[in-house]
Amino acid sequence: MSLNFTLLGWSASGLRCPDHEVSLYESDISKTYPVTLIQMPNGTGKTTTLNMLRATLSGSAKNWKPDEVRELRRTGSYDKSGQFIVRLAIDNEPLTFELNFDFKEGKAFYRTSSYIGIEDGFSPRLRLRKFFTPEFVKLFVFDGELAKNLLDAKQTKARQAIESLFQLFVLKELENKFYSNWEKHAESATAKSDRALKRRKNRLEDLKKKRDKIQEEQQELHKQKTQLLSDIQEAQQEYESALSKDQNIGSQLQQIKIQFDQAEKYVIQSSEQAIEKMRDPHRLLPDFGIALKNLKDNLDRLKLPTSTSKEFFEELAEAEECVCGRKMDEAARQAVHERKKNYLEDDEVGILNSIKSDIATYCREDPIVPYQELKENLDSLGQLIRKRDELQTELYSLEEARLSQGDVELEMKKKRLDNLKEQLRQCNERLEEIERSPNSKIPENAICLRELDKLIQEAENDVAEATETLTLKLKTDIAIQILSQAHKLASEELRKIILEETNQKISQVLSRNPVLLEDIQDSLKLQGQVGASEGQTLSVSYAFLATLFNKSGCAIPFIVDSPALSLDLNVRSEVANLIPTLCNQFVAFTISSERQAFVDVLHQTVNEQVQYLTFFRKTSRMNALWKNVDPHQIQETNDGVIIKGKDFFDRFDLDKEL
Amino acid sequence: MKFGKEVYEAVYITVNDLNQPSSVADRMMKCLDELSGTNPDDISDYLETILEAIQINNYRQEDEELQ
Repeated sequence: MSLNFTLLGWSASGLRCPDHEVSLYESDISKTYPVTLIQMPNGTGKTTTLNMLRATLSGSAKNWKPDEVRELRRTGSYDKSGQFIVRLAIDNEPLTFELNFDFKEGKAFYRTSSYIGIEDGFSPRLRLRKFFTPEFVKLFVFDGELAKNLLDAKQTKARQAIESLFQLFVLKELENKFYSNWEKHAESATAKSDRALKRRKNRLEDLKKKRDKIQEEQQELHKQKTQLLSDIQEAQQEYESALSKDQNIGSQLQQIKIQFDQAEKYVIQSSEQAIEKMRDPHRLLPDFGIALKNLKDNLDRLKLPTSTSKEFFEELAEAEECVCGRKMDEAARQAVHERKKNYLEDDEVGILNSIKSDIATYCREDPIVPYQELKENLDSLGQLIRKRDELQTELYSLEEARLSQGDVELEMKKKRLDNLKEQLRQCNERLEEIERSPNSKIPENAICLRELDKLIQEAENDVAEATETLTLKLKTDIAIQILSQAHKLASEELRKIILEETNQKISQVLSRNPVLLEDIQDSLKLQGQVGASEGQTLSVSYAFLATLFNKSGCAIPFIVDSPALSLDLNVRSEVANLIPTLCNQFVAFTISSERQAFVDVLHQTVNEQVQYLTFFRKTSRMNALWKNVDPHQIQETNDGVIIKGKDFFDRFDLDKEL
Repeated sequence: MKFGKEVYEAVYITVNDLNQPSSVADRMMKCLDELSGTNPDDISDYLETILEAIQINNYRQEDEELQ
């Protein structure tokens, strides 16, 4: 992870600060000054410039309200627009953010330029986005407020800085994504607990046990049925034999039995014939037969289907009049030719021929005949049934007469036979319920095997769904636990490393009066002290941020407001000595009172590679200050002047001059 | 932007501590890398591959709870 982030400069126009352009490099962008000091007297727009740097680098102005935008307009100006541009190099690739203001509309717009072109909007490349957020930009466009906040126990700036730079927050984001994924699934899931799964498993188990039991019962019933049929046959023979012991009644029974069996046989045969005939619809209703015959006649008359249909349309196309009576013109003829294929395709021709053939086969000349045939068949069946029933009545009468003779053995045999028949009836009834087709609505207490199979299938699906849901929940919990523990572990490791390295740096800065860090939690905690001087606070904050940036492998510039203002004179020189070790590029906004014990030390520390800029408003009162300056050192706009060079920088003291 | 070694190590150590296969850590780091570069609306495919790699039977805490 390495990234070289260089600030090349910025420019402002139409804003509360004077129009200006600051360049932070010498001849080309690879030769950036390690230190640039911009001396701006109070009232020059230092705060505006720093705010613009933060807004332009973070994309935060897109959410500004119209009043916030209009407040940036130059005082007393009627300019409709303003602009702030920041130029950067990321690993030597240029990147420019433009922040444009429309004061009339009260809106802020961004443009982003990089090696891939110019885009509307604030669009840093994906890998760079974490650096260009409001929170992160505050870490390197630095003011005294941040230094205080880092040590404020009520704030979480220190932890946020570590979270942000080392992207620990992404682990939390992924935790949330896992949780959302589970919630989304749980919305549609019907079972979310272990208890629900157990309940479903128990139901499935019960249903399977029930099916096994019913299957066993089914087998047992079939065996029982076979045995009953055999027993009934035997009992029937014994009963009939006992009945025949009275020879008179016995011979009558014998004869009637033969007649009954014959009659039963005729009933069955006649029923089958009647049912077969009833399958022909024209037998059920003479009008239907007449209509079918008419259909065939009409098809024949129209010479439909087969090749005659084609001829019909061809003839129609050549005829003087259409079948509807209208005159045939050329367009109509053409239309008939084109559309004839739309009618009577091969399969339609086949169906029509099949219908015609069936009508010819089954519907005779007189459509009433098939109807009468069926009627006669049904009448005959009725007579046969009546005859059979009469014979059965006779059989019952003879049986009754025989039984009334008081034959105990016969009664017992009769009772046994009836009992066996009742058992068979019950057996058949139960089997019928077990083996019947399933209904659409299945009760939970079903004994029908095919219904039970359906219930089991549903129960298996329920268990599968609940199991899947619980598996997902368990896996989600594990994923969240991994991320949570990893977050803690990484935070703790980073805390230890950064604490140690920050203390090493602090020892360098505050060698005379070191204030070491005891801990880094939400904020920085100083060892043995609840507070510290402003100088110590700033130094500790410098050291902490520098350690963070170095540790992350990112070379990030420090842009600092009033770096030495609050420092004791002896601390100033130490901080000035430290600055080159903190970062590759240091840009500071200063006022004249900060020069003492700071600027010269810094100048020496970076081997004189310091760019000195003095920036002030162009007013009539200020003209005397720069009238004798070499024009090459002057950069002038309509309302501001920047003077380059250490001599002017060192001499400049507005309070004294004015 | 890749993560620092502290984050990589923390993820792999935790995955190992929870008796999960290293493929869980591999897939998790891929997903974290994706999330760190941008903030995509839909990372459901990444989540699915991580969840697929997670082993329930190897999860020590679950075993402990059952005991």
